[in-house]
Amino acid sequence: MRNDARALSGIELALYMRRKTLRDWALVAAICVAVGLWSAWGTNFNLLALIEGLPHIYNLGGRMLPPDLEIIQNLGGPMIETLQMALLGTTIPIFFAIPLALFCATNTRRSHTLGNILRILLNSLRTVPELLWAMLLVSAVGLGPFPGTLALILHTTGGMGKFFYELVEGVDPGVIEAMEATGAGRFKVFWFGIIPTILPNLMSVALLYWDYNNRAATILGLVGAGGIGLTLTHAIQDFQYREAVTCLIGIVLILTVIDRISAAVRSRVI
Amino acid sequence: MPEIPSRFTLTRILIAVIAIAIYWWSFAGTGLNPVEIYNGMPGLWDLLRHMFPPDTDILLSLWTPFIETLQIGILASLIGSVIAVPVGFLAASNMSPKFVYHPVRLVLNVFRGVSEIIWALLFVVAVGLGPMPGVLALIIFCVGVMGKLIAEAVEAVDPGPLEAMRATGASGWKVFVYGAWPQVLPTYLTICLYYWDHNTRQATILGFVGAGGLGYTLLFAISTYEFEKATTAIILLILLITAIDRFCLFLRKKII
Amino acid sequence: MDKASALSERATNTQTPMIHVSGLTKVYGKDIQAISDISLTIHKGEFTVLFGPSGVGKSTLLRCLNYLVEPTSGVVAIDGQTLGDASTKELLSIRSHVGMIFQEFNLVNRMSVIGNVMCGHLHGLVAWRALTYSFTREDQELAIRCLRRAGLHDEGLYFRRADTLSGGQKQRTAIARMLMQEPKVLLADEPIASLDVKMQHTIMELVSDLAKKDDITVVMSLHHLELAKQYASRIIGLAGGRVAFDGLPEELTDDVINRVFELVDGQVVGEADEE
Repeated sequence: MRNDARALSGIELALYMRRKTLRDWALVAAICVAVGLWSAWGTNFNLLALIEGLPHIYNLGGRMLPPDLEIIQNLGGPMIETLQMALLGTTIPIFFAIPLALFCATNTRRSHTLGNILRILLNSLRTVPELLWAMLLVSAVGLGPFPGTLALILHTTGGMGKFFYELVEGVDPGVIEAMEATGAGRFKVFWFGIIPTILPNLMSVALLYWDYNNRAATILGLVGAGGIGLTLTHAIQDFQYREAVTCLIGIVLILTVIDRISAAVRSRVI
Repeated sequence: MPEIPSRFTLTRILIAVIAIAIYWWSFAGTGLNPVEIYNGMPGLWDLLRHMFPPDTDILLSLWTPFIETLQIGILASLIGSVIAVPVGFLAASNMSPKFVYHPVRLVLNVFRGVSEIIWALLFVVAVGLGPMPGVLALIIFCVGVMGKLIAEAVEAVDPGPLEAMRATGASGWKVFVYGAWPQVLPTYLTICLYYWDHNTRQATILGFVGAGGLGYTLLFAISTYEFEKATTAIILLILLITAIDRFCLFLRKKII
Repeated sequence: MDKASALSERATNTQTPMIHVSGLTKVYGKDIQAISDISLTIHKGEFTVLFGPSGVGKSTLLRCLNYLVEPTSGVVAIDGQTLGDASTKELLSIRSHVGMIFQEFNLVNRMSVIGNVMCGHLHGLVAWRALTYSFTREDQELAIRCLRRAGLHDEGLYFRRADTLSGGQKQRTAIARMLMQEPKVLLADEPIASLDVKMQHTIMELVSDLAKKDDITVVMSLHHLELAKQYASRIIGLAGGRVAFDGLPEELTDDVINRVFELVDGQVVGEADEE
């Protein structure tokens, strides 16, 4: 009987939504369709071209398969390089993001001007795609994993910083009051009152970025910034498509493994 | 007086040692050491000098790629989010039979595992340069990611109403629409907004492989060492994405 | 003994008043007057209860006493030191001698019970120790003594996360944290409002007991009339952000109360309507 009552509420909810907000949803849908059509016109979206292009893909597929398995032993080094880039690119930013959060969060900052400037800085760091950072850094310092890691650090600091200061701002103000009332200074209040409270969330964000950075690190190679992406680029440039596919498979494999590991860590630690 | 447990247990020390080893190895492998940083400084300084002041003459010519980037993001998100719904339904273990659920999940994993750039490269080969391969690549990725998230949301739904509905003999998709969908809707909208943001961001990156928009302009500028132009494009990029961020925040407050 | 001589007798017992407030006003925003022109003198060892309905300004007044809230105008002095003139360092030092407990306990949920208590000594903690979360051995031993004095004897409890405790245990932990500071003054913001009836009496008894033993001056806000009368040595009734009554508990007779407040079930819920 209890199930029936809840089933009804599910249906009722759906019907209620249909009646009352049907007009609102229709309006939203209309806007979406209009904007969509405008976008399609602007991007020359043309399903016909796609269909015409299918034979090209088929052709490419023929040249890409079967994957060249001989180069597997050469992939070990680049793969490890990618993992290393992602590790440093995720953990080094933590050391920057935590103090930045202290300075940016509205409930812990001393200077509003400085806090807002830092927020804009963080926003810029995270908005610029890591690939772009990598391109710029490669033209500055040359090829290899070094610019790639720097690019990840820059981008991740921006993203983590934002997540972190939002977490700091969400802490129960009562806890902060209690700490302040014992005569603890700003840093101690932050370190003993705020950090322990948001620690699981911090780790969750870090894991998220580790996951993301592994993926990103593989791509950065496309602009010469090291790792297995670089191997992939070389393969494509040399028209060795079968090697390229092996690299791709390697990439998908690593990413799946990382995915599993971070899910396991997440469920155990958080 | 009870014994306060020491912080330095054997396991923790072991973990610390292993962690330090991994980090040492990583620093060595990526070349992140003070010497390299020192050597790289002149190059970085040089780059910064060339990037500022930004070239404002080309602002007008950037308008078209700017709009194109916006359009790629919008179109891919619209189409992707629509396709993702039925796909998400098929990928939910409480909605579809095992022989459907598993292959669909696998396909979704491939869609999201292979990054958008690779898809973009493939589509550039297939349909040529320009914004369209970018849209297609983003749609594939979007369906992959959103499909999985929707499936997870559907699986997390309160099973009570679903059981009741199945008991009345309702068929699969009806159970989804009336039982699961209303509960999933807020999550779905959040995901849509989030990935619209993400897609616009990605649209610029895909330009680096020729898939249109500001990215392509940036690629061109950097390859020809015209860094002042690149800076202008980057600033424009930051403004575009920040604007979308704010807009999405505003929409989220209104809807949820 | 009439009111004047009772108060003046107390006044001659100590030279400097422990808490001195003069012309205290706090305005939020442009026109929300939380408290207006409050002046008080509280002597060492007194147990003062701020009595009044919710929202009348008790919390604001309490927080002005340790400058968690900065008053719009007026002077606050604790044990002769004016808070408004103090530098940041001096203010922190003054606060370290003023303990505070709250209605919602305000413990760090993910920290252990003993960790929470040791936070009472954060003020004196050396920088490198603060960074590595390592309190001294003395701190740890003092914390355990404080926990025992606060009525928590089960040592298995000490290393559990604070959010696994019951309400009464949490408030005891907060009291232990306060004891850790070895304070001269205790500010208590509705400390029993979130507890069940039996625990309310227990905690009031505990606070009163500890205050007598350690000679702590207590300023507590309550809206329970009977408890206020039972434990306070002085009651200050607040209405409309101002002092409406200041005197001994015995003097807070029923018709005085009904003139100023509105009571339901022995708890004040609002101010009496003006005719």
